[in-house]
Amino acid sequence: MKDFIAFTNFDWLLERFRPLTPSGRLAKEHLSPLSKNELETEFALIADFIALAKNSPVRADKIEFHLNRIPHLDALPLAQADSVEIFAVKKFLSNARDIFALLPPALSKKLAIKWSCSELLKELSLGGEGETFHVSSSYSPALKKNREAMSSLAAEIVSCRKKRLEQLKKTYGLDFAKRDFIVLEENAAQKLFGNPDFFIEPYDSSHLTLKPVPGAEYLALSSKRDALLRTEKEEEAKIITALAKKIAAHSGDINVYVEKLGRVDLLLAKARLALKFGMKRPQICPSGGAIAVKKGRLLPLEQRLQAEKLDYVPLDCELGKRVCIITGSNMGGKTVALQTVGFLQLCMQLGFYVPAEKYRAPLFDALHFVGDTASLGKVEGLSSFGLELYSFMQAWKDKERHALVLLDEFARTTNSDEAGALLSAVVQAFCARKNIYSLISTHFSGLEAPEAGFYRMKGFDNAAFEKRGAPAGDLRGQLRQINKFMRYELEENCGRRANCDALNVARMLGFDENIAETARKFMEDK
Amino acid sequence: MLRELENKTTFIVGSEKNAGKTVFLNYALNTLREAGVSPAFLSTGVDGEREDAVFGNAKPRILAKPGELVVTSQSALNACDADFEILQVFPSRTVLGKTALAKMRGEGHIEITGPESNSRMAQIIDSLRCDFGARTILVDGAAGRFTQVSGVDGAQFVYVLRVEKYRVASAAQSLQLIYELSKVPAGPHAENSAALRVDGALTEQKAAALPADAEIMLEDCTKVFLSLAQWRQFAAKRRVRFEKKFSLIFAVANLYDITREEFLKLLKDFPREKLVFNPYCDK
Repeated sequence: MKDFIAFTNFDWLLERFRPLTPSGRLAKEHLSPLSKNELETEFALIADFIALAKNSPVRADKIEFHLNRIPHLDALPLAQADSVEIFAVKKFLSNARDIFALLPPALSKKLAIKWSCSELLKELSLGGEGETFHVSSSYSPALKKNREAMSSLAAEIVSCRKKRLEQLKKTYGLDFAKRDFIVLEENAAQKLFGNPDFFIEPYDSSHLTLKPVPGAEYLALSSKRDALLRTEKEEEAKIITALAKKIAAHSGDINVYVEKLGRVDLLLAKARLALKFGMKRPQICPSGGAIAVKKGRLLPLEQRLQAEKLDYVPLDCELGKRVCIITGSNMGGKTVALQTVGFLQLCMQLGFYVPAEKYRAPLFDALHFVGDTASLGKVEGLSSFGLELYSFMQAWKDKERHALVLLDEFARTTNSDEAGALLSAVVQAFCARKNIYSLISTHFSGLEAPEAGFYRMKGFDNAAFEKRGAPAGDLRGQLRQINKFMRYELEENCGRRANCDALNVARMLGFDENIAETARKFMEDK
Repeated sequence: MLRELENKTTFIVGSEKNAGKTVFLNYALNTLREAGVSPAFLSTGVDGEREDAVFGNAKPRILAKPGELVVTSQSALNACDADFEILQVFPSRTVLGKTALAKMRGEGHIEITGPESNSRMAQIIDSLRCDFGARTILVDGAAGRFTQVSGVDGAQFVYVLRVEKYRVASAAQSLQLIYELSKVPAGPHAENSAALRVDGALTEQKAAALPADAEIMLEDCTKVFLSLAQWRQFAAKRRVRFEKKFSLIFAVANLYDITREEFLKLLKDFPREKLVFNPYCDK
C-alpha cells in the first residue's frame, strides 16, 4: 500500500487535506480503506457538507473557526484535576456547543449529535463566559470572603513594604524599591555589620550583598497572608475536586463529542477538498465490475502542468477486462494513466470524492504496485529489478483477497527478450487468477493474451507536428512541444498497433540529428 | 535604557549558568511596571527548580502582578500563590506538565517555564502577540542560546554576562564578538544572489577555505564558531551577511572581583552606551 500511495502521489492530496481538531488530525494519520456501507454513508455526508459550505458559507466558516479552537483533551475522567485540565474541558465544551448549534438540524440528526452538557458548561462558566477558566469567587462564599480579606491584606502589605523601604532609604541612603537586594563594596558595608535592618552575605572577595530585613509588622502581615493563602488553596482544591467530579459524570458524553467533532472535522475537510478541486462522488460497482473513468484527473500532475501553463488531458477509459494492457509512446502517458486510476481508487476507498466527472469501480481488498520502487525511495539492498520482483511476489502471494495491481513497465531494466517473456508469463498468470484486476503499462506490443484487454495511448500527432511544429528551444520549450503534440487519450488497441514515436520524441528533446537519422535507417532495414 | 524593552520581544540571554539572567529579569519587570507597562513573560525550557540544578544556588523567584500574562507549566501554576485565570494551553508539554498561559488576577510569586524548541517558542510568542495582545514580552532565555532570538520575528536580546577576575579577558572577547556579530547586516538569501551560502557551522577550517573578497551568507550568528581574532580576520576580507537578524540591545555585566575600570580597559571597541553594570550594585 505504501508503494501504491507513493506511485500515485497520493501524499499530495493528503498534504492538502487538513483537519483542524486533534481527533481529526489523529484520524488523518490512521486513514484506512472503508467498507461499502461506510463509504456510501461517508459520501452522502460529504454531499451534505458540500451543500453546507456552498449554501451557507458563513456558517461553514464559523464551524471551522470553532473546530480550530478545539483543544486536545486527555483521557476522561481526568487523572489530574487542576485549573489547566478544567480549562481544556471548558474550552472544548464551549466550542463543541457552538459547532453543534451551527450544524443544520438534519445533519446533526444524521450524525446522531445530541448536546447534553449545558448544565456542566454553565457550572464551568461561573468565572465568566468564553473559553478562559479561573476558580472564581462565585463558586464559594467562603472563597469570596477569604479573597476579600487577602485583597485588603495585600494592600496593607504593599503599604507596609513601601513604608519600610522608604525608611531604609531615608536612614541609610539605600534604595530597594526595584531591587530585592543591593551589592555594596565591603568598606561601605562595614558600618552596617550587625545592623538588625539587614541580612548580609558575601558577594565576592570585596563586595557584600545586603537584603532588607522585612520588619516585625511586615512579618506579621505576611504570616496572616500565609494563613489566608492556605485557606484559599484549600477552598480552591475543594472547588476543583467538585468540578472534576461533575466532568467525570459527563465523561461519556464528552468522549462521544470528541468522536463526533472529529467526524464533523473530517467531513468538512473532505467537502472543502472536493469543492476546491472539483471532485465528484464516485460510484461503487459490485466486485468484478469494470473500472470506468470519465475525465479523471491526476491532481498533482494537473496542478504542476497548470503552474507551467501546459495543457492537461484528463483520462477517459472503460477497462472492461480484468487484465488491461496499456501500450504507448515514450512520454505518451502510460504511467500517468496507471497513476490516475490508482489515485482515483485510493480517493474512493479512503472515503474522498474523486477528481473525475465520473468514476465507477469495485472495491478492492488490496492495492499493489509493481514497478520502479527504487525511485520511490525504497532501497533494501536489492537492485531495481530485484525490488520489482519482490513487490510482484507480494502481490502474487495475495491469493485470497481481491486486489488491484498496477504493473508499470515491468522488467524494464532487464534485457528485452527476457523481459518480454517474463511479462507474457505474468499476463497469462494474471488472466488465470480471478481475484486480480490488473493494469499493465508496457512497451511490448506483441503480448499474447486472448483474455486481456489491449489499450494504447494515442501518442504523437505526427501530422499536426509537421503542420505546426516549430523549433523547441530549451528543455522547458521542448517539453511544451511534446505536450502540445502528444495525444494523451487512451483508446482500445484492437489491432495491437505499436507506437513508433521514440525517434520523434528524441528529436524534440534535441537528440543529435545524425544519430537519430541512423536510427531511422536501422528501423527501415528491419 | 530599559525603555528599549517596551513594545518589543526581548530575550535575556546569559553567558553561562548563574550569570544573573533572572535577577535582571526581575529588575527589568519592576522598571517596566513603574513606567506603566504590563509585561508578559516566560522562560526557555524547564528551569523552574528552586535551586539551580548545576551549582545548588538558590534561584530567584519572579513576582507577578495583576493583569500580567505569564507562560508557565501546569505544576508551576498549581504552586502559584496568587489567583490567576487560564487563557490558553499550548500543545507543548514538559516534565512539569502542559505549558499554559495565565493572566494574573492577584499578586504572587511564580516560577516560569516555557518551550525548549525554537519553533514552539516562536508559536507561543506569536500567540501572545496576536491572540492576547501582549506588546512587551520578556523571555528568560537559556545560557548561550541565541538561536531562539533569531527564530522570533523582530525579537531582540539583552546579554547578561558573569565576569570573574580569572577569566575576564575571555569574557571581554566574547562580549566584543557578540557585539560585532550583532552589527553584521541581515536579510533573506535572494535566489539570484551571488553570495556564497555557508550551511552549518563556520569553523576555523571552513573559514580558511572560503575565498577572500567573496560575499558570504550564514544562517545566523550562532553558526559562527570562531574566536574574536579569527572572526575579525575573516570578516575583514569578506562581506558577511546573516539570513536572520540578531539584535543586541545592551549587555549587563555582573562583575566579580574586578572593577568596572579594569573591565572597560579590555573593552576598548565596545560602545559604552551599550553596557550596563549590575543594576543591583551601589557605590
